[in-house]
Amino acid sequence: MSMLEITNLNAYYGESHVLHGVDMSVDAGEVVTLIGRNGAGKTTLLKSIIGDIPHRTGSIRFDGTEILGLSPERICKMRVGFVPEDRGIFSTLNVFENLTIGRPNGRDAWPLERIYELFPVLKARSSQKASSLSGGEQQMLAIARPLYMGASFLLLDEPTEGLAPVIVDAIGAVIKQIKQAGLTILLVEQNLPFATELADRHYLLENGHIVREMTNRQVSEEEETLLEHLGV
Amino acid sequence: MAGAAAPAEQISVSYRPGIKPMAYYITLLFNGLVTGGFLAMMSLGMSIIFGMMRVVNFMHGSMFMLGAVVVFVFGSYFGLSLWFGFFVAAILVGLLGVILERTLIKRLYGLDLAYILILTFGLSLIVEDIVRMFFGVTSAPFLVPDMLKGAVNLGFAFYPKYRLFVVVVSVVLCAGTWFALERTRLGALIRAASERPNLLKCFGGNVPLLISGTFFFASALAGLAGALAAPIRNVSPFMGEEMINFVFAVVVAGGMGSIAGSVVMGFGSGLVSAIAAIFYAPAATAVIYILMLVVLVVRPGGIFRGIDISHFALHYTPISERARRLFMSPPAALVALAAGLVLPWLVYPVLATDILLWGLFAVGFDLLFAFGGLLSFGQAAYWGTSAYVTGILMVWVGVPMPLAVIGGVFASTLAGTLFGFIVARKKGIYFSMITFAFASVVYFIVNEFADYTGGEDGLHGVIRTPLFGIDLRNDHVFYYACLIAVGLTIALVLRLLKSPYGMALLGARENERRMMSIGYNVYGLRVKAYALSCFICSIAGALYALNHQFVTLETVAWRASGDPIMMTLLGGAGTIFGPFLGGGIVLLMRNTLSSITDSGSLFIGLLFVAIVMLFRRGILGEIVHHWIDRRSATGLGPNHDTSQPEKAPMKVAGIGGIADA
Amino acid sequence: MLDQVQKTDKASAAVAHPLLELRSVTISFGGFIAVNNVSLVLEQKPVYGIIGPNGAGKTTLFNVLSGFIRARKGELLFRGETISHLSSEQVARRGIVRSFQITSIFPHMTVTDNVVLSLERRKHGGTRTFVRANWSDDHSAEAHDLLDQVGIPPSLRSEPANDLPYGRKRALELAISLAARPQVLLLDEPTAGMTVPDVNRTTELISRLSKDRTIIVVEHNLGVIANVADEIVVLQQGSVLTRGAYDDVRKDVRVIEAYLGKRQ
Repeated sequence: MSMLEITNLNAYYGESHVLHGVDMSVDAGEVVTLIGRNGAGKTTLLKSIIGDIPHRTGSIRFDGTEILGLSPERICKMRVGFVPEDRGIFSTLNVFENLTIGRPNGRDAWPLERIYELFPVLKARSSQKASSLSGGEQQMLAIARPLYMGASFLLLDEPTEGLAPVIVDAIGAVIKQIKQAGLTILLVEQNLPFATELADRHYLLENGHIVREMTNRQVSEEEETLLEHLGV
Repeated sequence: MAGAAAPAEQISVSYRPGIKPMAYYITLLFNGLVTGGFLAMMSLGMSIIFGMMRVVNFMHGSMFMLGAVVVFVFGSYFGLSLWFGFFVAAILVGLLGVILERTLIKRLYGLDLAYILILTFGLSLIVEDIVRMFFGVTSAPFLVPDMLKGAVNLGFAFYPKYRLFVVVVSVVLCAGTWFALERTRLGALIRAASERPNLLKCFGGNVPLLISGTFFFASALAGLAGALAAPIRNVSPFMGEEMINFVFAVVVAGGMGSIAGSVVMGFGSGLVSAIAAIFYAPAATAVIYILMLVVLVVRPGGIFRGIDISHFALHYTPISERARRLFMSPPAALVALAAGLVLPWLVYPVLATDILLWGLFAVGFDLLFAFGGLLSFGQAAYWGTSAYVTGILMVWVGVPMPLAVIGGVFASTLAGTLFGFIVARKKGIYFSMITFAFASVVYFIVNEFADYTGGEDGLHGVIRTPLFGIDLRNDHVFYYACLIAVGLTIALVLRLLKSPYGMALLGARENERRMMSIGYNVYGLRVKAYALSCFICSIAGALYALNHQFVTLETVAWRASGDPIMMTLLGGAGTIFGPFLGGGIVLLMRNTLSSITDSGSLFIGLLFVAIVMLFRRGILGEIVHHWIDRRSATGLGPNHDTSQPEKAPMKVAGIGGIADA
Repeated sequence: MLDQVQKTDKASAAVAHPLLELRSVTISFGGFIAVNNVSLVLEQKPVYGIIGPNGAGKTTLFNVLSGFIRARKGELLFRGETISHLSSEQVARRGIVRSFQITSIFPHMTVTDNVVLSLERRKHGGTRTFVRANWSDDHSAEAHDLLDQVGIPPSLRSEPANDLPYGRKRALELAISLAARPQVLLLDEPTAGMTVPDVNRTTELISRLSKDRTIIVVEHNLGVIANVADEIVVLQQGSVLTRGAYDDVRKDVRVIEAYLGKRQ
């Protein structure tokens, strides 16, 4: 059974209808990416899963439970972790406070030592204001946060956006380790090489519709066409 | 009755003849710290609530008053000790805060900030009027427990133990609050919820609980401050009003939402006020406002970096364009004129004139509010100034009546225009609070120059004289003279609103950025609107002085700034004639209800709450909305998107989304 | 007639000075550098396209060009004259008019009034107070002409602007900008969120409008850029990565990397 099973999901932002009958699924242990142009509805899809979009119809089942009507707090307690596009850093909190803003939940919650092992920079800067971190460090913090809470399923929204290539590589390495640790990941990504290296499958989103499901090979072979889809 | 010189009053208390001058001054400074302690505790709570929910809580002053009353009641009727009283006051007032948040304020999250300001303003009227039914002005020095009685030798002077205790408690509470907010996990959660409530939910944070908890704490702090003040200040239903004035000034100057800003400015204001009192005792009050105005000119965001609220513009769209055009059409004016002609035969003429003039005053307010998108909480400054200048010119200078009216209107409009250059840069809730503080300064000045204004006794002898052979001493005749003046002013307003300038003003309210991007000087538009509003309020004020043939302090008091807001909202903002209808209802109610409660403000407060919670478009606005807008909406073509849910009349764009908290 | 005078003026000015010039402009928010020491010369061309990944500084660049953010470090020149110190409304009056990423109209006014407001500002300054009641009739011919140009049918023109469908709102926004008769028109993602027919209509419109002025477009949809832009400026992390014709830029390895990440 799929860990996440979405059927006929529609989502609305005010007056605009953003997602149209989205069907998709993610199996336990998989890394799946959503690719598509800006405004295609990728972020809306992630926010719909975490419960941050009030106006939705359809069905989202997580671990067999319907979560469409649940509040973000409840969904979070089901061990769904969220790394928003803007990294979701609380700028008035220091690094440690940001990291520990959610409570550890269940046996799988990573202890601080394990997090610091993977992200040494978070230990070194723990009492610094989070807003003073560099973009890459903020991204690390954003990824570490759900691990501390013991998330089993991660929603990652464009973790490489606006980062220098070296940092992108480092983030890639981190995500690989997280995958090896057994987490399931739904990743929004425009960086195709990055996406194919990490992911098992891809969904192509266009104007709020899932238009294709693709394998790594298809993505690499059709890079030219995909450029058009991504608006490049 | 507002803005009384609380710090000054307190300073005189501890003066004892025979003490050496140096010690006397130091004693004064300590008294400044006591005042500062109250201000800091109050501003801190106000700031935390604002930071978390973007709520400007007018009730905060009433919480202070209730704290004092609770302690007094428990102490004098039940004989409980002050220690226990502190505890009970904090808990009860804190609970009241939570109940109000859960039942009323919560429903307005996501709507314009002004609604909550108006709601809490109404609530404070209700609370104060209820207390007034049972309670007069008392003092309660007997509440001081034995161990805090007497004075302590500070080395240079003897100082009352209890006052020292107040200073220590306020410092400890402020420091403790700061510590809890900055150094504990709970504090981190509160800061996170203030910053991005919806994001915190995605990490499992219970945002509604945090909000209620914050409301409890801030209210309890206000209650405790009131309880602490009970033994050394007059316990009265009015002490909250006095306090909220200062707290507004402190919070704005310190930086809205900044914890450090409110504490530092709280204690700082207390000290500055004490120092000012050394040179000129009555300046103790004014200096706090002057400090605020200086800070705003020099450093507009406040001394400390608070939350940037300048972009929280007012999004008040009470009625549709279609409805607005209807009200601005000739038939509407004819109906209004007919009503105006028969009014003095329905109610006695002085009251009829009052309705007319308060209505015009409210139109002046509404020009800024519904058309300019600016909620002024201080238009009484111009209504009152104009009335006083007119009166003073007639009584003390002997200027003939018509010239005195022109002089009054001119002086008041000039003052308003000059202030407009400062205040038109401010938007949203900032604008409201600064205009409120400015009106407090005017109140202070009028009260201070009692030799000319008559102070609390009022200015008598503003006698109407015949004009062009018409005997204005006859109340009916005077009514019709006023009707002509008001009619001409309304004609001017209609003309303005229909002109390109009026359209530009509406455009600036609707979409400021867009206006700037097509080359409009939005600031200039707002200065002009402010000046025009002052002009209209001034005309009404000068005639009001003539109507009653004397001028009272009431015309510059803060309630006089609140009345046009309510009249406008009640009648229907943006409907031109709604404010007159609202004014009529309010005045008639006050007339009949004042026999039931002291001032009728209980009912006025209830009306405020009802408007904000139930019919935000006002009477005329709702009627038109139901009969005209609905009907035509169904008759629209396929392009009209009927699938979207009806929007709340006043939605905020760009506020950190606590809306669905 | 007036148009012609303006055009010859433009032509002569263009000889001496570039249309727009940024001289080492840096903009930072807190510690984040959104625009990093950018120097850029834009000539009198029909359409410039500005592209780049999210966070490259495109919108910030627009804010600088339109005076919504003042360039404290560096200088901004319009036809050789510095305009860095001007406020946004002053910049707009010089003829640099922008649109916004999120539709920016006057929602409660009628569609026609939205345009009239802009026309009145250009022709009479926008603060006239004592004019005859039917003053807006003077503008109606031009307003309707502009609305024709952007393709809003007459049947919709007396509705509140808020009731327009999304694509029409964006068209209206364009009409408001055009009413200000810009010499430079800055369009921030004009086709974002549009349906395909709307995108096509907008693309055509941009080409048509660029005959009389320079249009600078920030756009994610490279199809649109390919169709309309004469030159493309690629931004990455606050700097100009490269510039040139679409086909050259498209093949540039650095551009592909900026968008798609480095090949491992």
